Amino acid sequence: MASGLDRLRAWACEEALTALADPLDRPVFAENVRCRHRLEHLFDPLPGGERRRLHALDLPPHLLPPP
Amino acid sequence: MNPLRLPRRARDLTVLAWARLREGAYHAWLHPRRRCVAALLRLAVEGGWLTEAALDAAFDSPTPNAALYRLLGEALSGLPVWIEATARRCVLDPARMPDWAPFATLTLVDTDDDPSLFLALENLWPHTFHLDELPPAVAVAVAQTLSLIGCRLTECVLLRDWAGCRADESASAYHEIAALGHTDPGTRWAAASENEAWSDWFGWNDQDEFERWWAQQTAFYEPQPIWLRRWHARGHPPEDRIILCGLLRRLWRWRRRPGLASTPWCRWLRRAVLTLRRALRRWPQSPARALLAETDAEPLAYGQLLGFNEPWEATWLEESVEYLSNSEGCGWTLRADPDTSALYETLWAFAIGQGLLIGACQADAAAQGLPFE
Repeated sequence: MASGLDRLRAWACEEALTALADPLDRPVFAENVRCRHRLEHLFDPLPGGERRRLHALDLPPHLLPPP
Repeated sequence: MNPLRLPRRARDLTVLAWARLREGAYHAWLHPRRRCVAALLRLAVEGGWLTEAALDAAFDSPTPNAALYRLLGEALSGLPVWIEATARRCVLDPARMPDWAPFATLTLVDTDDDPSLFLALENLWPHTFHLDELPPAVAVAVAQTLSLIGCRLTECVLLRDWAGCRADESASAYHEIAALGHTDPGTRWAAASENEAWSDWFGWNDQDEFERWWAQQTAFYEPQPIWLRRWHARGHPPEDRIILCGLLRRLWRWRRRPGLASTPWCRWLRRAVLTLRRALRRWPQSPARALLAETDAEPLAYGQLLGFNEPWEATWLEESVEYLSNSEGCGWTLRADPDTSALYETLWAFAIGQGLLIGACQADAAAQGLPFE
């Protein structure tokens, strides 16, 4: 069975396929860390238990749910 | 359309309905850059911060292009950490390493036919070493070692060599005026100011300006420190292997010299010479040579000029900054080659060389009793 590196080399040499691509859905540059983090957050939201609040809620304390 | 088959929640929409579309978009994004992406992923596997099993899992996943894109993100974020750790192993004082992050970046270069990566210096990093107080043989050994690091590992160049290549007019004028044999400053100025070609080119307004220029040229061509005179008169250097053997012999002799073996410069020399010997065995040729591509950018070496605190250096450093401000920046344009480990070897050698250069700065600061920042 081909190793990961062999498969990578084969993948790099593959001919162009007609890709189904929506121009609006092109990925942002992976090099931009801020963009990548935002992308990961959008596509892979954390499960409910681990979800963190990113911004303080603009609510008076008596309207917040009980801890 | 059967309304029961519509996604029920927004999360279903992104995870299920857009999945095929997104995979296609990743494929379209990656395709022109595949060789770059593959070269970077190979680098990460060889560097050890990505496993082959992760690559296998990405290829076996239902959306391999999206999975590879995600791995590319991991490869890129691990790269500076790996380079910094490699450099840190070669510095003299690993606890006090300068912040690497703003120094160099690696970007993909978008071209139609030959995808490549550009390792760019984000800042100029000229180093000034103060070797005049050292025994001349040690100072020459340090200069030789720095020169070898520039040829073999990371590109850097001695400011003297850089200036020497660009000082044609100054050199010919200086040697012609010196050949006139005037020892009196007044007659020398009279002879120089009579020649309109020189006056127009250099724009001396009065004798003081000429004398300042003359002093700089004299310092360049007839340096006062003994070690610089030896270095200046060294002629054509022999092979790198022979230079290294000579350096190792000298280090062996100096090991019992009281007060010398434990100095920061000697500690750095030992580390640098042994590292260079290992590098020479591993890479008979500089690994970057196999990947370097033609580009408009200036060589990496121009961002790392090495000086020895000579009186003429400030002028040429200003000159270099002005020269580089009109250029595309300094760096290496590296062809993306996923078939060999050349990219890994190149960046590895680069990191080792940078570590040794930082170590030299630390040795210089320690020898002067200054804190290294």
